[in-house]
Amino acid sequence: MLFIAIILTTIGIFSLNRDGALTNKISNQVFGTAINFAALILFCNLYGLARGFFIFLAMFALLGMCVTFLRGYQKRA
Amino acid sequence: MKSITIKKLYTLHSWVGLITGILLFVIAFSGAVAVFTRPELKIWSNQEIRAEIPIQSHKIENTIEQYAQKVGPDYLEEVHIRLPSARLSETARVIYEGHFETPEGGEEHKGTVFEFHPLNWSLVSKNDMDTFFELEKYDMSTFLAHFHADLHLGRPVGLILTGLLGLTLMVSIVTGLFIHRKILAQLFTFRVSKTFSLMLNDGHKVMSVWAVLFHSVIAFTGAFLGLATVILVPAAAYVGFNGDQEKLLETFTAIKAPIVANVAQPTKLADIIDISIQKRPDLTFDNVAIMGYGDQNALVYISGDGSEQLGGETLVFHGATAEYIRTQANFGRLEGVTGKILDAMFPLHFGNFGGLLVKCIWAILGLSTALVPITGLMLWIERGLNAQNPTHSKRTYQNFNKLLIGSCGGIVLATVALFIAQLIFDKTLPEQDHTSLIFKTFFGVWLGAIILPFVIKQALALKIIILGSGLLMVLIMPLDGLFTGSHVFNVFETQHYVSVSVDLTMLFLGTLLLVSYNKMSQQRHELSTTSVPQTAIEREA
Repeated sequence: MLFIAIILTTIGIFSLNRDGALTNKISNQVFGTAINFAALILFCNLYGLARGFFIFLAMFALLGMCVTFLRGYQKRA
Repeated sequence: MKSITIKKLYTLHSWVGLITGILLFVIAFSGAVAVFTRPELKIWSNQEIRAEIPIQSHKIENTIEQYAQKVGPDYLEEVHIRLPSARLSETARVIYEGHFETPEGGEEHKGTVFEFHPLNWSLVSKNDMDTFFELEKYDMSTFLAHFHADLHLGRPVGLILTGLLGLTLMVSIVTGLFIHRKILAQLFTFRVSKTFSLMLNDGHKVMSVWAVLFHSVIAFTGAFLGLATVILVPAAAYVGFNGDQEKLLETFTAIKAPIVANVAQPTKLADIIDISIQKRPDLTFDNVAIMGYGDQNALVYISGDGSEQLGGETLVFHGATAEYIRTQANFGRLEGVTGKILDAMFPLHFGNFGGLLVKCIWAILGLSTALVPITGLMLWIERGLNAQNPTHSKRTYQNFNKLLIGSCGGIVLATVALFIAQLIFDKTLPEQDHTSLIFKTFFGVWLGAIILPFVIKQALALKIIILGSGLLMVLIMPLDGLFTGSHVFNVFETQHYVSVSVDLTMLFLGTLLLVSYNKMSQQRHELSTTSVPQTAIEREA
């Protein structure tokens, strides 16, 4: 379940990106938010409400940074 | 917001970063390492606790009773036991404490601290409580944990300084958010192929914005933990308890003394430990507090971590009957959300509430907290050196760059050097206190690294610091295997899973550092041969 939660967070982050900026498309924003919310629920289910919330926030930050850095290096390559 | 206000906020952001940037890196980097000091690095730096330690409930009960007879009834008001099975310290520690009236009519706490071997419970040392806590012995893990807490500047100065740094980080976060209001438009932007200045700018923003909530949590909890004991508690005691801090703590902390019946009845400690393990297999029990040991009304508090509760849980038992009373959090007696928030402070700061995964995330994000001020400072230097009419002289920027390389690179080198030093001291000076040697190694290496860029070319100094750190990291595993006989090939036999994992992690990080440096050197070489302009910082180096 942890693996699925991490994958969902990553998909949620990817769907919020559009050419290096936060997407303007409402549908993508809604989709990204919904996917991240599903990931949040999974984390809370795994770790409990308070712990799951903070773990999701940290995971979201970490994956967001990773996606942005990797995207930068990928564009360079 | 008016552009003039933005400009003022930008100035404030820059000055706060300039003044506190290097210290923030030091604190945040040491914090990222401190995440693993308990128990991982504690286990790594003490061979006696490298393998799992079973809870020997009857052995504990017998030892506590045996030494209770020796210290006498005056010291049985509180008995505090650090269980060796949690592997949070190199010894099993037992404190027998009594409360005595002073001639002035006040109350004084006196006690005796016994340290036992974690496996066979043979006596290692005996000290009175004041001496024990004044002359605390440091291994590398304890040193690093305390360095993060107060920079070894002593208390209260060190705690106030780290607390204030938490507050300045909050100021930087708030001003940063206001001056980069359109940051969402560049949320996923990281341009490597353009200029160095642009890459630094993007890196600074990416690490700041994605982890803004993490940085905020760390800043707030850090400020609270730093200032709570030296400012907030005395202030609250002054307001609500006529300056009596002990009364305030007794009122709000969960471990409360019972009304002693003065009727002797054995405390069933072994039964209580066994019941706790059966009742809560999810918890790792680390501490036991017995209030009124050997009395009919004795209460036993056994604490553990690992449950869904952020700050751990404490099981309360009736000592004489081993009857379970309740489970509570540390500040469980505070009504509403206050207790929950106070309980969450420590775990949220150190990330020790969800196993190794959360610790790893906290460490990586902690490194990003460390890198944010550094990228900001590098950006300031780069812009200053590139500017037509810089605010300060060229020499100022150069010297600041040298200080940045020496102090920030030096703290990494000094931290890694502690691993090697611990192994060498354990091998060459066994059974001796290594505290002063640990201090000398750490601060000696750090000071050397700070001076280095001022006496040799800064590019060479940077190379020495990076390659030195990488090589030392790679050396840890073979040295550990050579000196202790514990290595990856006999890990199933020795069961030193934690220490071998630390060795492997350091080997991986060292290799990564060396490979990254090699790759960056190659890229710089290619750029210089194709006559692409270097960065201002590199030109000056």
